[in-house]
Amino acid sequence: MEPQSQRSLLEVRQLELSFQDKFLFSDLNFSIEPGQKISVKGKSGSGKSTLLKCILGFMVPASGSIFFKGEELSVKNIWSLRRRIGYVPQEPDLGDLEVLAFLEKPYRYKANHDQALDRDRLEGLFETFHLEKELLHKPSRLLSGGEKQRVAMISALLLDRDLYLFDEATAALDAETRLAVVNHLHKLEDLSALFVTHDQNLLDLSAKVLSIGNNRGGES
Amino acid sequence: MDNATLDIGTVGLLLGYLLLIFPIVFILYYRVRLMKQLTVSVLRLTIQLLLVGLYLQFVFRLNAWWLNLLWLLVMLVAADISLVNSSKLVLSRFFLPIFVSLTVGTVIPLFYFIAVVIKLPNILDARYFIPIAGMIMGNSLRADIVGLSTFYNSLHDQEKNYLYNLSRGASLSEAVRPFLQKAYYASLAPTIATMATIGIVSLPGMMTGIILGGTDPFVAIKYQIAIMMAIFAGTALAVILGILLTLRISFSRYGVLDPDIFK
Repeated sequence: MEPQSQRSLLEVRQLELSFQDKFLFSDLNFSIEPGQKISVKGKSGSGKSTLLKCILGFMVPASGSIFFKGEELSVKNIWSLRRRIGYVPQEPDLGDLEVLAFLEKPYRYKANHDQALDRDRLEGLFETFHLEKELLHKPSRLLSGGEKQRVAMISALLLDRDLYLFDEATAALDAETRLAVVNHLHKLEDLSALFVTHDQNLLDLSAKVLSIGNNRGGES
Repeated sequence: MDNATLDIGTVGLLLGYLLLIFPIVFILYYRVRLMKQLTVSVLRLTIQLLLVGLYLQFVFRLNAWWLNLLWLLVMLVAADISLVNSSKLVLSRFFLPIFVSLTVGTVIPLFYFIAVVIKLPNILDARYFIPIAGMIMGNSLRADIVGLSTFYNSLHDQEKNYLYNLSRGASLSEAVRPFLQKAYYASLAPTIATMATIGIVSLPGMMTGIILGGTDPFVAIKYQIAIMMAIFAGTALAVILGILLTLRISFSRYGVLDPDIFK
């Protein structure tokens, strides 16, 4: 299958998903252009998180195709494509490391060797996302859900990926912090992102909102 | 020093079983559900050792290199099955890679011990070859089980963390590294701790055996030191190979752990 547009950052065509033998949806079509932010909403269990896992190659769709910059996602290119996607899970498991060590870790991976942790940017993001600097030396396991989400977001943003996938990334934040995070994402005009969210602020900044549910995907 | 070990008579051996009275009394009194297991295990221990005793008498008398190698093969297969089953993994998928890892982890320290350390002229001499192979394999088996099961169970329990690291750019080997470190630590730490207390807290079986056989205790400790090195090296090799050789069959080509590897 050929992509419809070579220019789209991400293109999802006629996607059908099942999870543990349960049919989720079929015929999902959408694309994300560079710098575009779009949201996906739907009832819990409708397959929103599964969609993100498919884009990351953690799950294989029942049918349909996913293209990244015109290249179809397959077992051959998934490892290189994954390195161009930033992912913030709903409940990030940051492991046992201290927060700073957690943030430094991906730069030791071969795929990110050409990058280095930007301490100034890190400190700026900590301030923007209402996180105390002392948190850097706290074991990740001891962080609250909201702190983990923000640290995971910072880790993803610092890695400068082409596309970001946010899975209910603001769900555990209080209203004030959520607004600060959303405002920051809004200001990043070049940021291309797919938000799985129910947060009205994120829905408002999205160019498109996709509804998943009733076993079909569609735009609203 | 008298060189012959005192034989245990049939009555003496039966009296040996009498020591079981202590565990049995407490197990029954506190209704710990171990009686059936204990009975089966004691029976198995007795029958297996009797058969092995008869077999070893035969093997030692014949002392044929091919029979000794065949016996090693039987031990490796039995250890392989026990290791995979105890790790709650699917035998049909893990049998071959674990067999290779156990073989390497046994054969290298075994032949090194026999040929280089004690410099035995006939490296396949049954009197050395079989008990030393058994000691290396038997002692490293428990550590191998800990290593393999810790690796796959912690990956299963912390799959979210593992996948998250893949999404941050980790390759398969980079993403499994923390789990490998954890498994290696869990498997090797007890043997390292044992090395530190040996001679003070416990007198190990091999050393005791050689002393009972009438040999100078100083020869016995030299054997014990060398066998501990062989056991540790064997464990270290078998665990790391067991993990590395099973990676290919345990993950999809997308790097996702296959849930069907677990029983």
